Amino acid sequence: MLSFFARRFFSLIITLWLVSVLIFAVLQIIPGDPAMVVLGLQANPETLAKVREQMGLNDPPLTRYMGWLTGAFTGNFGESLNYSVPVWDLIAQRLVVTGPLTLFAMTLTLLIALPLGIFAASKHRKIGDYGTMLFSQIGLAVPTFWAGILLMILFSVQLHWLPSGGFTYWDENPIESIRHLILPALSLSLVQAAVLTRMTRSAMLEVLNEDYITTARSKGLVDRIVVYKHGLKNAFISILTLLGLQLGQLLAGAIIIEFVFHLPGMGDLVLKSISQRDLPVVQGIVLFIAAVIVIVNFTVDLLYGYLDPRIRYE
Amino acid sequence: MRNRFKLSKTVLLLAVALMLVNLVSDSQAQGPVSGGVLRVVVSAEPQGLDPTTNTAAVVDRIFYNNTYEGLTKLDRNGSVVPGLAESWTFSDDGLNWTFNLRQGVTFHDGSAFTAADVVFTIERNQTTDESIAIVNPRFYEAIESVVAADDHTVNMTLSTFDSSFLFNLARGDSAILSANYAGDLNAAPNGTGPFSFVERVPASSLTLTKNENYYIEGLPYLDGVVFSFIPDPTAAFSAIQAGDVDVLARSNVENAPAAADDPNLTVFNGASTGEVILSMNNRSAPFNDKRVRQAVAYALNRQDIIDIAQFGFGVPVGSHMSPVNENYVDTTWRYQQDQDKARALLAEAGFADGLNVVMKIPSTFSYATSTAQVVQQMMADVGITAEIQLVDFPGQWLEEVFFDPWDYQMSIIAHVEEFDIGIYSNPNYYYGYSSAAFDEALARAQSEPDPEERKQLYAIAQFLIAEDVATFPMYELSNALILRSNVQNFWEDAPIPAADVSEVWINP
Repeated sequence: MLSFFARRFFSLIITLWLVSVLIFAVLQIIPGDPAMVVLGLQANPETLAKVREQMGLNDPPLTRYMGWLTGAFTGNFGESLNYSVPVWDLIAQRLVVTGPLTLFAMTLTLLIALPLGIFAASKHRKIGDYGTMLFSQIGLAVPTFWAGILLMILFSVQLHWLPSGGFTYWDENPIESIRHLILPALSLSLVQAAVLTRMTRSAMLEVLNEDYITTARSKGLVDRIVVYKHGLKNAFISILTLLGLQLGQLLAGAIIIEFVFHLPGMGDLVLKSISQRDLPVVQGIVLFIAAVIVIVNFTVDLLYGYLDPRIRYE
Repeated sequence: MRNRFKLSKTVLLLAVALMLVNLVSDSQAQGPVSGGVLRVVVSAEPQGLDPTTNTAAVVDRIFYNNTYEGLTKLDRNGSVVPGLAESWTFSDDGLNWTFNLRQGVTFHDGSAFTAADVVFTIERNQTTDESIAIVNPRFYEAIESVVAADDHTVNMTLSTFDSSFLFNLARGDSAILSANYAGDLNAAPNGTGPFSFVERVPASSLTLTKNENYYIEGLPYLDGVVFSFIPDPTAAFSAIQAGDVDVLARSNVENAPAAADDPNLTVFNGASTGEVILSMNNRSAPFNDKRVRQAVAYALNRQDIIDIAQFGFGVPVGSHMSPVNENYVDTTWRYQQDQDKARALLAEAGFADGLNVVMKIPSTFSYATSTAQVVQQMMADVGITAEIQLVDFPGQWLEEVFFDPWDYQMSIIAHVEEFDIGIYSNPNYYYGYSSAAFDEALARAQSEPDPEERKQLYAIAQFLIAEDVATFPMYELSNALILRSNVQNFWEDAPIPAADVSEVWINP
């Protein structure tokens, strides 16, 4: 168990380091620098040189990378070039939007997908199965941002039930905060729910054909216990794998959906920071998101061990 | 019969009563109403908030006349009017100026506004200090000395007469700062205007609140203003349709037709200062040949470009000057679309078999991408094949097009800074245009005291740009402002890229 844990932890660190190198290199290659962005069309070479110096852009890239890396190890992600505040403060401020949004979308995904998937599997090749598959086909075909715009037109512009975008912070009015998250979370979860429904269905179908299910049934167990206790728990390994991957997709989808609903989350900040070349912020957020994804997958790996004790020793 | 009479009498009474109610509510609707917070969407966010060291247009759109004020300011018609200077006098040669300052004005931090603040501001704008990167020191080059005669009088001496002197003092860059302010201007602005700065939520919004001590009695009407930064035009339009925001300042025209159909929304098709310029790199082949540039000019039809790319919103311009500027003259007549002439000029320049060029277009701006496609088609009709390369703005565009070594052939962008024809006398500008005749006309216009003479000199300067096809100015962007219909007294034209809300009110 310990060596399993150590191996996984080591690969986690290596992955994060590779991500840091990659993101730094990419941001060095793309043209344009933050000093230009500040000055815009009125820039002249003299002022530009002054601003570059102020922003510390004249140091060689390797020096800047090492400075950033050592800072990041001690939890210091540096300071935003645009706002002159610590990057971590910006991330923390955005996390109260993106965190709940992702969890909300994840919950909705599970609430929609698990029952539907199990239902479809239990009605294999019947009308309920085909109906569910039709729904998931549509969910797969509709892009997240388009779903967001359609939901916005219906629920905000036409019916005025929910806000069209923006955010009210939790300390002001938590009910408003939730209202602002409903449409974005719903748009995000539609695609993911469609994928997860299919996965749940096929995993359940596979498991329900196993011998031990037949055994359980022949023992005379009620159908509910057969499906949920023996079926779902074993099907859950593949569902869990997908869930881990989906969290990454939700975080990536959040970038688009936060843009559509102008939610002040991390995705919105990373987009704006890229266009303004606020490199410390971009690096900080991308590293943070990468860390979340890697840690979630690490946790999923550990959970395999719980769900299926054989996996640890392989 | 009797009954009917009774009925009609009741109806009559009701009608009169209704009319009275209408009259009352009408008179209420006509006068300004105090209170309410105005929610304004702007597409771009300023990086730092200091108006002297950051891109003027983005900062001005929030703070100009709202938080910061200059000695002079531009009103909604583009005229220079008194700001913090109540009045001024000048010597016959126009070199010695005396400004009489308003009294009883305080900064938002509570300190009193005096002549020392004016001296501090002007000298700061001229500074050579490495730690302060003033964006436009050229506006203050002509000021030789600035002296406080007493607490409320400032004397300035110019080295040469500068006809744009008062205009330059009205620019956002000339906002009067407090000499004693200890805070960080990039994070916490401190001005004298009708609204003081409250907070900014990075990359999200910026809040201003009513300055209760504002020196003009009764102003402002609004309790506050919230500016949200929403770059996506679709998201912004949904927000105003849903009633979540009140104004889309500098909206994109693609939403204007839909907004015009919405009874809750008003569209202003006002003038702006954004000349949409088709630039051609004058430094290198093929556009170092005037005939090729002329061929491009003859290939294009400005009105068609506006109709197709901008839904008819916008005004054709022939040179680099906004129609809201008092010195503007129409030069669009110089090149009217003539495809035969375009082909002939191309052949003369050695491109009888056609010409291939690359246009680097900033993908961020929808007016640029849509205009590029129309231009591409019109040029194809005369044998110029243009490849459109999308680049992101500002980073990539500035590095590849705007800065040395100017690695581009053609580009399209709106120059939104007010009264910026002076860029054509800068040989290091990305156009690469250089003309002794233009430089002379501009220099003489700037030092000409007589307004009529000056206007003629500016007309010559404008014509020279048009004639040489230094660039091909296509049209003035429509202000295309979208507001909720209860927002009153908003500027219809934008003679400066600003959203001055000092006199705006919201009908309940």
